[in-house]
Amino acid sequence: MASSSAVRDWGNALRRGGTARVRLGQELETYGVWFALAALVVVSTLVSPEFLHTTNLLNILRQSVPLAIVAMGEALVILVGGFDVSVGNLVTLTAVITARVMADSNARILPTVLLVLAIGALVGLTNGLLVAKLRTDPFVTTLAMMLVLQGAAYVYTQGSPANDLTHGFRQISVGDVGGVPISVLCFLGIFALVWFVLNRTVPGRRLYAVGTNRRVAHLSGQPLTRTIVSAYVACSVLTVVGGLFLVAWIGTTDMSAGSGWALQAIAAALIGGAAIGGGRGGVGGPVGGVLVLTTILNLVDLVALPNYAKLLVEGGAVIAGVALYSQRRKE
Amino acid sequence: MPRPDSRSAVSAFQRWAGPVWVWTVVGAMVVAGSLGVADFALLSNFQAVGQAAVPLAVVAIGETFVILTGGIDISVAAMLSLGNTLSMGLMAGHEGRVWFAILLTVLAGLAAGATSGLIVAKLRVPSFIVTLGAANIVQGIVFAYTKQGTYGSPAPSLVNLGYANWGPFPALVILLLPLLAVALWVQNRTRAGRHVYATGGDPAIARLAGISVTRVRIAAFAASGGLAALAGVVISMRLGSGEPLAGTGFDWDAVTAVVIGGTALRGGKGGVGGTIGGVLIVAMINDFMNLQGISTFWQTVAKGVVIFAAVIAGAGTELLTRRRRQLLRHLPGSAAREAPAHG
Repeated sequence: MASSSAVRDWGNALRRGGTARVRLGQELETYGVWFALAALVVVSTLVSPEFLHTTNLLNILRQSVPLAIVAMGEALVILVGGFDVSVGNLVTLTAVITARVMADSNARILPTVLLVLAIGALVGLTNGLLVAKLRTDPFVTTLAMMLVLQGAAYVYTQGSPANDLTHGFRQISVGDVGGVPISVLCFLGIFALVWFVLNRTVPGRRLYAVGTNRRVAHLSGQPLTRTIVSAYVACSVLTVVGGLFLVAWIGTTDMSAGSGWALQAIAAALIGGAAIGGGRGGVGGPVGGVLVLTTILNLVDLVALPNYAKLLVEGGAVIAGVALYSQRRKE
Repeated sequence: MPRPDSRSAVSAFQRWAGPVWVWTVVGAMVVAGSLGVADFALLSNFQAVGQAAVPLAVVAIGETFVILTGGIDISVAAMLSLGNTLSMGLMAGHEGRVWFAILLTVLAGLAAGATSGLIVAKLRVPSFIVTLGAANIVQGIVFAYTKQGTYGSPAPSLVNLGYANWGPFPALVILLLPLLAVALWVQNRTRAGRHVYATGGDPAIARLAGISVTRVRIAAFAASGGLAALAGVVISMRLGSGEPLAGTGFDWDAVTAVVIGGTALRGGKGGVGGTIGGVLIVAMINDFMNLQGISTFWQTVAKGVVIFAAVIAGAGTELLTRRRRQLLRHLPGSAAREAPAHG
């Protein structure tokens, strides 16, 4: 208990610390993304009359759920000063395994989900142990994992994925309860859980301690390896969960299901207040970042720009968004 | 031979050719392949490996400079597609337009790379975010330019260059040599090269020493963009057309080759020589698997495993050195690392 309150005090001290101006800057880091989202909603409404339709808004939310779950995981890894570029291919692998192992049988939903979650935990454990124990570079380590996962997905499917999802399983992403998408409700539950662990438990606060200053955290008796490994495991497991929601949403699987997700997840985390090097941000900001990205892409769809315009807009938005935040942080 | 001499010979070798162990692995792979893989030890196979390795080598040389400055360039795949389609579109099968097309293409790559570098250096945005974003943008432009289909064609004189041999040597390998010589010369014999190492080693100290870190970074990204576009021209000699997705996979292959070749991702350590070794390792892995009839699917897995092995080997040796220093100083962590180790 003693150590738990020490960590909490330290967390509070960190939050209280600094001048009023710095604090305002930190607040903006977290809330800025919501202002950006609000501005984007206004612009979208002006540009396209269809934007504010309930169906469209609910669609944006549904589409955001899988990426938002992945982005929360990515934010945890970035928080401890790490990095995970393998999330996109883990999403793809989750999608193709789920779509085959489920084999059109409702009885197999639970075993399938447990299987892919176990794979996710194993992937996160491997990444985390290499980075924490051997101190390998997170980027190259997860890059190697990315190639292994990509190859594994191809070897498993031989390039032509099955599509044996059951109707019942797909309800988690396409179903409604009283007009509210089930996926959004599930997401709120997952978000609340992750937020609680991160902000109100000792292991959660340790992520901040380790990310802020690894050496000080080590000297004050915090378990470095366990904390870093748990962040990578959480990231991979959340990525698998995101993959499950994605495959339930799109219904079919293809080998590019998760392509581009590493960039989007990392960008969402950075736009949402995380900082490369660690110690900053939470899981709320990244969700805002995902909503910003999804809304922009939705707008591209609504005004019927050609497909490649999505690439241009996404690339530009990511660079601009992250650049804006790097500017603010410099002050 | 007295010891100091042999040591300086080794360090000269490392400066020009890269870590000894990289070339040991290359040698071991050649021996193992000759003994264990049917059809490996044939002149025609060595020529094929060389021809296939050249586009990657061109990309990886540029990537090396970016990584030496402490950055990373993920946009090389899209840049290669841009170079491939743009040069073929400009050339459109005309012999007279070869140099014009190559020049314009390389300039486009330089400009695009310099833009990424400018954002990285001036706005302090992490380079892999900028280049991933730039990759999206450049790929989008390529799709718009080509209408997402095969585009343009090479001049007749270029068509077969990709598979030609001059004497026993592949034409592409001979054409690569001047480029490699220039890269090595810039790296080891010019002020710009020293500035690259200084910037990657410690940007703050480099700045204090009067080096324009901004300019060095922009130049490195520009070089990477220009070389990736040039690799797009090279690959058109093998493809015979412009393909909007010609560069797919080159981003990770280039980073793999550079990292296996002993260049540190945090910058300041390594060089072009080792990268060439890394390129040969990647090319031989592909060749082994092709000769054994193993699917490209497994090749991706194998590449991942090779990077894991390289990363673990690198981290293992570093960990051992660090432990030794810690024992010497009875101090954990960074204090010992910052001070030079004695003995």
